[in-house]
Amino acid sequence: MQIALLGNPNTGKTSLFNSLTGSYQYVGNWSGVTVEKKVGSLRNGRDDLIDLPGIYSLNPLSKDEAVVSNFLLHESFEEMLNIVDASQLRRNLNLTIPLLEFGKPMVIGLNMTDVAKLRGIRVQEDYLSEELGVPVVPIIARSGTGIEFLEDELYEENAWRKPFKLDYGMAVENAIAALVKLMPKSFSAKRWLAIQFLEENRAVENFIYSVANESLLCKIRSELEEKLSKPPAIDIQDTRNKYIEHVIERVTIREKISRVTLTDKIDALATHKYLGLPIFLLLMYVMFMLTFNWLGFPLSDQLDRLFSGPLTSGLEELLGMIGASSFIHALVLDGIVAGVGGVLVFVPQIFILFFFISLLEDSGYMARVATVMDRVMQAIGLNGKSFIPMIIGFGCNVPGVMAARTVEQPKERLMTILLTPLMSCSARLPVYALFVGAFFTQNQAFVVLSIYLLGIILALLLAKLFSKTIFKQEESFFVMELPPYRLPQWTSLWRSTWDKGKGFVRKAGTFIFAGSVFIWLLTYAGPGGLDVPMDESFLALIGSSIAPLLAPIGFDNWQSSAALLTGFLAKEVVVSTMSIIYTVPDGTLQEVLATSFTPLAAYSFMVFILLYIPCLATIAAINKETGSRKWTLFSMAYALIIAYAVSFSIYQIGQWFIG
Amino acid sequence: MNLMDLELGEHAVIKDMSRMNKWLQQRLIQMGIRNNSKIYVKNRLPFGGPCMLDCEGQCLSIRNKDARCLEVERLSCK
Repeated sequence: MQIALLGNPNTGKTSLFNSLTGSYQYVGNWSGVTVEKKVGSLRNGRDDLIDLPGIYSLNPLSKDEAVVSNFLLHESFEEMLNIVDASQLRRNLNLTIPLLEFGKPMVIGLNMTDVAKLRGIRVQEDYLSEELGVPVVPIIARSGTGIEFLEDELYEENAWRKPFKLDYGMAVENAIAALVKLMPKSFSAKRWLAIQFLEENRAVENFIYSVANESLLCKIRSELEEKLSKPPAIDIQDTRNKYIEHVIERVTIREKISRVTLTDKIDALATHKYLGLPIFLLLMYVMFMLTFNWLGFPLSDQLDRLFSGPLTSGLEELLGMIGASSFIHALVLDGIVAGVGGVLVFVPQIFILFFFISLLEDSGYMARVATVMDRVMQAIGLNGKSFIPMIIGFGCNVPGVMAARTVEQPKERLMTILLTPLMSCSARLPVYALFVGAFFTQNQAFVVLSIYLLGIILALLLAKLFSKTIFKQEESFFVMELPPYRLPQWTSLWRSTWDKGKGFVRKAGTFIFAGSVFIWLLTYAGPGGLDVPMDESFLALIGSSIAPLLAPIGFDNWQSSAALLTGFLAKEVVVSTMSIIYTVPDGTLQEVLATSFTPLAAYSFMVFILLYIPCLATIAAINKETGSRKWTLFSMAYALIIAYAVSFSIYQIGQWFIG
Repeated sequence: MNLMDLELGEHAVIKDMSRMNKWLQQRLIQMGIRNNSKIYVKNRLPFGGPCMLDCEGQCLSIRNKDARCLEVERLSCK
């Protein structure tokens, strides 16, 4: 059985999803709509739970909201689990009613009963169940209270249900009846389709025009508008509002409580007139220091020692024992261990970074950041909401680009997608770490921070430039819900950290593994045969054909050109490639690097790595999200131009200073 | 009077949303905000940044230019 999980944003959907499903979940694609869906198996092992984006209404105002309407229109599922926030009943019922009209069996999980109680609201679930005609189970998703009762109701095949029908008044009901007649017989939810059509739901309109006569449908709607002397959507909403007020009146008991909540106290600080921005910057600083200096670096160092010490010598012994040929020997030690190990070393730092990003997302602070930043972002032609994808982009650009869906205005959304790759993602981190370790040991965190800041500053400047030139702004708007702060739970925090971080580990096992073998082969073979000196290998040949182009920006050796080429696959491959190219019997990679680059060239190289092109996975995401090859190519071209220009200036001006 | 005329923490009810941007109006309606909803301004961010408001127990932020289009009426007694 397929069960769809639906509800408003910020109602605890993710918590509920996590406590209902086991550890197993997968990400797939819907047929027709290329949006990721998350599916988890329920604990009974038979049924699947499908996680859908949180929405306020079925009528889509932004791109991720159309996902739910399209899901209802095109996908098959047996049951709906609707999560309702007891402290925000009015707005949750506003979504519940159209879902009930869809006609599939529904179970309501009444969440946040504890939050409601703090606000002096008590919802009597038995009355609510009676009104809506579906089972209502009070739960506290975060602590897992009531989950087992919810499961019982979900698995109960013959649960008590009463068909739901809200009477919209004569005129509207007549129009609904007329519309239903025009629809093909095979549809099950004709009444729902008719109501959504009258509400001008764009996703439904697109669907319905493909199966029924457009002009007849629209004629019915415009005649109704004349009769009502207002848009049918407004009239329908009015009827629903009346019903919702009636339900709320009947099911809630209000006690007068007025006290300052913890959220108010934190907000007084987090969105303080003058302290808001400094607090945010301070938090960012702590986050980066923990990731790079205080916690992440020592851990990575330990791991590196493990790889280059016991692991390498252990493997060497093992290979000797089984009598491996020198080819296998070189492949394993110089290719795989150097390539994959060089990247895996950075797993601790990357997980720490992802942990903090999850913490920001789960606590509710992200919405405040968007509010605090809106004024600045507006000045450069963006939106406070664009800031969130950019912060996520620090972890990985792919989810960052996808998070741009929450930006409603199309041009601001496109600009957010194009600029997010300038945020230095965690895959670029290994490259910086390698170079600062070799050249800037005194000021590691400071140098890395300067690269991150450079990315941000360039993004802001380009936003201003783009919004003045190619993206002449249409009217811009901003509305952001500020959910109460929640103390994140360790399990869900760990889960979302792992969800984000596992991609990196998996990439090391597959992509980078294969890439390392391939790159190593290119260094092992050359026009002269196998086992040639590195400088006569195929890779050297390819690298040196590009190298002259890169001379003006500071690195004309074939090694860096080759590394940059492979870095297009994934930025951390640059490290793999360099580890393979520069394998030396004694000494570390960093010592060898110190002889091939000057510090200035190294800095120029890091800047180039930051900017030169979004990685393959990000380009795929940009292509998917913009749906336009033109913009995808643009995102690559402008990055390359900016990268060359900036690195060129840094190297040339720097040389002039150094003399 | 509109939302910008209210002092911080001063309670009011919404009287008219029709002057607002249509898209924004629709979103607010979806969030359960409508005429006669109780509302107050919690915080205004500096340099003309957005204002944070509380409407029937939910907190949200909108820009000043949109807040100016939201007609409200002061509640005389708190």
